[in-house]
Amino acid sequence: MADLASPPADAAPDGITWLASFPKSGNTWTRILLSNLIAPDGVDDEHFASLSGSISSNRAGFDTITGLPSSDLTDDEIDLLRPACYRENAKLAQQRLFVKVHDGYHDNGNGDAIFPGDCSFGAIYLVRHPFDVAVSYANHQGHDNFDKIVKQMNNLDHIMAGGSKNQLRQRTLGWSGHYLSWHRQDAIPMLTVRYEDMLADTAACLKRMATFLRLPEKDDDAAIAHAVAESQFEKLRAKEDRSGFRERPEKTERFFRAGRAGDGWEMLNNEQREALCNANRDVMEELGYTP
Amino acid sequence: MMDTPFTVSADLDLGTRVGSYLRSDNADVTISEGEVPQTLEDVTDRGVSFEVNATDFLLHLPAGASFHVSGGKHISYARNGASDRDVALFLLGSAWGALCYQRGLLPLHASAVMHEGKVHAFTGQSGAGKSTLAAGLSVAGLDFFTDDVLIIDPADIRGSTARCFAGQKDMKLWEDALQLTGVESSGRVRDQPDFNKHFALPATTEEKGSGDLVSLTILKNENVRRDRDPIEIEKVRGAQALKHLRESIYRMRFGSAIMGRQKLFTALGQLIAAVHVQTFDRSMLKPQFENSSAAMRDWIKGYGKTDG
Repeated sequence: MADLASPPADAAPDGITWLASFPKSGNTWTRILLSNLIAPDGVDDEHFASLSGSISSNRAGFDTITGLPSSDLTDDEIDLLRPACYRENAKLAQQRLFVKVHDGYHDNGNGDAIFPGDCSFGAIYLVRHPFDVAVSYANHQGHDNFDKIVKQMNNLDHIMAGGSKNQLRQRTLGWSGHYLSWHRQDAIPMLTVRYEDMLADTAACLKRMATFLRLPEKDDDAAIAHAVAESQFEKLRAKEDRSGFRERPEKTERFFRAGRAGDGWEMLNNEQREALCNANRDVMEELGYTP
Repeated sequence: MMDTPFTVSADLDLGTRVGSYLRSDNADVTISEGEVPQTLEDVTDRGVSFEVNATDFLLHLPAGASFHVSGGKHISYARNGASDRDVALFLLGSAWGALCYQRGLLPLHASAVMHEGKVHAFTGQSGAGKSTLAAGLSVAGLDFFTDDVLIIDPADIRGSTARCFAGQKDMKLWEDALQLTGVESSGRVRDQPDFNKHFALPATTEEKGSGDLVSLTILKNENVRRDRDPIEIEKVRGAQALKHLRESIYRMRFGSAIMGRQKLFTALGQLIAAVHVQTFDRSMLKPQFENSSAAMRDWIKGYGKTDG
């Protein structure tokens, strides 16, 4: 995929880099790759990633920055404060921040974008074939009810967490809605990377990301090769078996499940695949995703 | 001996949460509706929704009430359309925290139960399950002591004793936590529709508002993801305890801005030296709740007999 735009030459290096994706589209893998490239010393048997920055829905982080108890605020009230919260995060950061985002790109109900351009360096947008997302997302939720997952992915109002959950509400806008929302905004320069391209040539994709992010390592092929080797699926899976993975949902047996493309064709039935195609055809075609 | 760290008179109904603090007159702190400035002069720290200077604290809620806390003696509030219930909720939360700091007190983000006259507190990040565990333990027979806020007077930490005060006598529980623990709702926390969080007062509520804090338990949920024993209670000391507990300081940014980091961490260090600090790692899946609560109940009941 081509760059939607590049960060301007004078882009603030202390601005946030958003790692944006619908869930289960290679976001964690990307974070691990970048960690092994930029800050390999912080990666060990217990820690898979070492980048500064968390996830946009980090409730504890919101509480700390705002001084307000998010659990006493409505999800809409929280959204009102989120742009200012990220600006404050960027202002207080002592290192470059890489923040995972599963929210679609939308405003906060008061006309301001949840993710403000003025505190952003850029965004890497990760996208994966919706059939495979469906299988992986079901596993992440601890079930294999693919009908339920397909409905969530096709639902423009699909939300994650919020309310009593330990993450803030994230309005994904559904699979297509997520992609379109980020690609229709022009406040944050963005590089789009397909999960399937990462599988086919991880080093090339990581180099494109490093170039987009203006990392000093962008021309260091040995460092890129090392980061790719350290982030191989088999290695991550073995590490999870050995030491566990903090981000694994309790209901799920393992986070690093398959790490491949194509499961969706085998595990979803015709009706489920058709439902995904019908609701997401335009974006699937744009991305070269065949039914 | 006083059962609260200060007394309060207020011109609005604060409910039963801080009943023991309330006086009709001659209180240490007055709370009244009035003008709240948009901004402070000589600001020493400023956050997303607050400002602090040498004597004052200002808080503006998104599309809601504003609070001006001054000199540890007065809180003014402006409703800006917010109901009594919503004003009281945030007044007794963030504004209350700032008031404590202005008065030299250390509020911890903790819930607690009392057993045989001793207070056992649970702390952890938002969503860690502090209130739910305290509710579960109260159903299991221990006396509920406080929810959300536990107040320490650093001047009253002596040797191995840390006197503590209940911050709130009503619990705030989400609907699923009510169902999980069997505690009954006594009304909604907010007037906002679809906000399914409730006040609740467990049957076994300890009437005392103060006591000796003997243990601080930091709630975690990590082992289950590491294929280790999901229920683990581990004592922590010194720097490790400080690292864990710094996240338990109530509205840490307010505390740093108002009290200063050095004073804040000195108080925390004194507290760690005085009480038993431990981590409690357990599953957060609902079917496991009874088991993990029972493990903590047994630990508390055994405290002082075989440990601590």
